[in-house]
Amino acid sequence: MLNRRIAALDPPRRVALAAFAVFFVGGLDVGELYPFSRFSMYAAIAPREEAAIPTFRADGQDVSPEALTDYFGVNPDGFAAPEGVVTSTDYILRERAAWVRAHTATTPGPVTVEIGWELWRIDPQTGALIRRALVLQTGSARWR
Amino acid sequence: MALSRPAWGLGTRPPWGRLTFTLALCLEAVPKAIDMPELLHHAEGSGALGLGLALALVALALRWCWRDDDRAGWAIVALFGVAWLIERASAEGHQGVRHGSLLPVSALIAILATPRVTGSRSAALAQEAAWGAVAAVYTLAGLSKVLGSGLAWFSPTNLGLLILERAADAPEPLMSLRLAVAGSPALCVALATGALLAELGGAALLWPRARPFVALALIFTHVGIAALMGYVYASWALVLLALTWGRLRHDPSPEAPAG
Repeated sequence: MLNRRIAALDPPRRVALAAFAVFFVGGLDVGELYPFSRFSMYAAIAPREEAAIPTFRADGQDVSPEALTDYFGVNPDGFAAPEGVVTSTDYILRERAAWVRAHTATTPGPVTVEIGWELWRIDPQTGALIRRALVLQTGSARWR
Repeated sequence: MALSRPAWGLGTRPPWGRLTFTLALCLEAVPKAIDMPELLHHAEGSGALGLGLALALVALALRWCWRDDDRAGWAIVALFGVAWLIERASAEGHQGVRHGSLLPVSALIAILATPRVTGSRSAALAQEAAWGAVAAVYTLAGLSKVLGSGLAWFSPTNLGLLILERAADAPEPLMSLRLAVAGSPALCVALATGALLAELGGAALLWPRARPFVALALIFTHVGIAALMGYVYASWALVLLALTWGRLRHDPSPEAPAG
């Protein structure tokens, strides 16, 4: 039945269907193996009540970690979200950890660094943005 | 050898659909230059490697575009594969946001493989093969959400909190827009439903009559994702534009005109 239906298709449709089958079955079956993928970005996120935003502050100002170097007293392995905090921004943490790990120093620097999270939610009654901060680590660094 | 015969020389401009598709490939080459130092832990030479990789990809894409050179096309596929391997091997790689190059690369593989499989360099067949690959990518993206989240995908907090997370570092007026949308449960449900339907509707791209409608829905979805979440999938939108309203290649003439 299916064979007859496929045979009845004109050649361009058969080619489109064949390419679809290769990439669809390949993605489902082998998953994340170039050039296949399930394209599952944001497909499954645990239920949560607050948005978790990683923060990185130098002397109280939000900065990119790449603005600083010679990190002291900061543990890049401890950047992950604390228990109970769900985020879709894991990749930002990994980027930041990679930079800090590659730019450490053995002596303190002049800039105070604070690493943590801001937890945001919008009050359903008032529509107001409610923010709370979690500071996980403090250390020091030097401006580049 | 007939299969690798260029359809046009340097003097003939390729169709705009092919130029647009090539632009999509070039756009995907750029992040390789930017990201490589980070992926390689800022090792010495990692910047030069990334820049070299990106320049090679752009040069090959231009050659594939202008000369209809299949070998350049396969080299593009191989180089994106090298970049993918580096990304996967990097313990700090941000997997999950590195799908960008896979849609244009999948379409390119389908285009390049068609003459080998069918024995014909028909422009229509190559374009249909690209459509098949693109349809599979979007259908998989939609199916992943259905399987990964089920009905929870439609919860207003799901998309609302995703948008809120992306509001913090957004410039004005995007920050205000994101806060406004995240604060509207009904809008979040509508946008989540629309995006999922558009992606699952990717399967309809197999039917030529549905293509303009589904492509437009997907392009609007990409615009929405860029505005509300900051993920700019311009290359995907360009591929949809190129395939829907452009042509990837001319049909080769049976014989070169004498004189």
